Amino acid sequence: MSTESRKKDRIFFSFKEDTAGTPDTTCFFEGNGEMTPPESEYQFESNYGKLGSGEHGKGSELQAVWTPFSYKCKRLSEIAYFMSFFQGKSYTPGSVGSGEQHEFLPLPVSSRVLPTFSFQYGIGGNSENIVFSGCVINEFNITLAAGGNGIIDATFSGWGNKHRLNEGLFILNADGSMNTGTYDITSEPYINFKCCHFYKADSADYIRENSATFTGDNLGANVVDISTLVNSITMTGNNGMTAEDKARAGGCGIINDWQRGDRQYTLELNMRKDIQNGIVTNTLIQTNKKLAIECLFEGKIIGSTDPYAMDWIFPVVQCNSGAEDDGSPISKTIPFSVFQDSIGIAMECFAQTKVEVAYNGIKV
Amino acid sequence: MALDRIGIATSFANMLKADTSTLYGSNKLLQIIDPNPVNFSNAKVNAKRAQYGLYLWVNDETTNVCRSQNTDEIFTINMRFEAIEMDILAAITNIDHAYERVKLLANTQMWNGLILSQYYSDSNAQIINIDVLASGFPPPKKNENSIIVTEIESAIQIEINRWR
Repeated sequence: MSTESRKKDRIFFSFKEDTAGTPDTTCFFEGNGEMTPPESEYQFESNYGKLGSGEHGKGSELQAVWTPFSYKCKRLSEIAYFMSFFQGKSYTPGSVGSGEQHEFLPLPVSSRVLPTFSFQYGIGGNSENIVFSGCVINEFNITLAAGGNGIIDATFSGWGNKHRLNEGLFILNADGSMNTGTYDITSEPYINFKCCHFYKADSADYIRENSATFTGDNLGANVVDISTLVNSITMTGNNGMTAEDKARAGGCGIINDWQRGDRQYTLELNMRKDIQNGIVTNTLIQTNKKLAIECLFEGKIIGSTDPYAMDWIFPVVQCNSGAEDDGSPISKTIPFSVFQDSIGIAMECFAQTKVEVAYNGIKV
Repeated sequence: MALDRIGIATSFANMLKADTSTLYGSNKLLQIIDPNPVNFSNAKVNAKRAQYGLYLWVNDETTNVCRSQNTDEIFTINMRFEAIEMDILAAITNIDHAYERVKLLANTQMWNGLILSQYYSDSNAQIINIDVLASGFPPPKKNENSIIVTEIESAIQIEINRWR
């Protein structure tokens, strides 16, 4: 029986890999959420005629190895960090007061190679730790809901390389020792549903780099605050990749392709009907009419006036559900189709934290 | 002040005491806000002078989530609003307003995200949620000194995150 607690295991994230697939030895911050212990997955290929099969030593059929992981964020900076890697394009943070602003935009069509990062799993600062390099974020799932303790459920998942091939043998990455985290995010707030605002508008006007404010709405004409009518909001994103495709032949059986596929977002609201005041979802969010949605978290104050903040904006969404029963039930789930706006952006994301957490954030 | 039982009760009481505009003061809804349960059990009052008090203490503590580096712990603050007042209707009205004010303060603290942070100092823990739980309002009764006591019992749940 083991006498060691799993509590010894910690997670350290790097801020950016200088060379994709090569692990950073410089840690960015220590995670405070929950990670499913990563396990390697192996893919065997017996077709010797297939490109790449049999490359790994004599008679080997091993085609690929990768390590999927899933991380459940607990802190605002963690969500911002992973969102920057999911979106793929992150601007150098700008300072405002005592906070740092981040803008996470999707990669342009002409450049689809996602940034990669490393993380270390173990007891920290120890050569026996396991480093996973070449990690990409393929999916996220965020649910904000009333009830319970109101803390959101934000999970990011993807995969990376645990193994490095050396003369036909798979070994652990040699460098298993990151420095300790530079940024301490332990005192940062959780995102709580009680601190979130929801807005809808006819459109999102010029919500681009540096244009977001972190208090109040950032939408265009005819903004309506629907915070009190929202029971829950669920958003997901997928970069359209599969590990099987990315662990291609010719790459020594490890992940060597970080190009995203066609990105997809989904958005779903559960709305409370306010029959007494004549507010029903059909009049508020009209079926088959395009609108913009914003979800803004305003947390505690970083400094004098700057709050911890996270802002998701969907510039063009459309409700596709049919007619509703005006008398019952008292709530309604509304799935949206998420479209790209005129310059190809389907979701924009902004954050304001105390530290610089974007993947190209400046490590101090 | 660390976020332990007495620290949570005291910091919450201090937050309520800071509301001198409505809740706490000589001419306000409450004259006593005390995180001392002994004061609660041995309250000595002058029956000729109306007096309103709030006594609170941390009753329950459970560890909600235990992670590799941090835990979520839920503390329940039990609250007893007490009115020593011959005019029962005035007593009912007053402590009910006091209770509503406490509810408002608790919810507003959460909404603004300030989260009680100026009333405690703990390098390894922070309050992450405040929830107002149910209240009970039993009929007024005489205590052992034949003084009519009107009281509301309620509870507020405070969730904290504690790390290494």
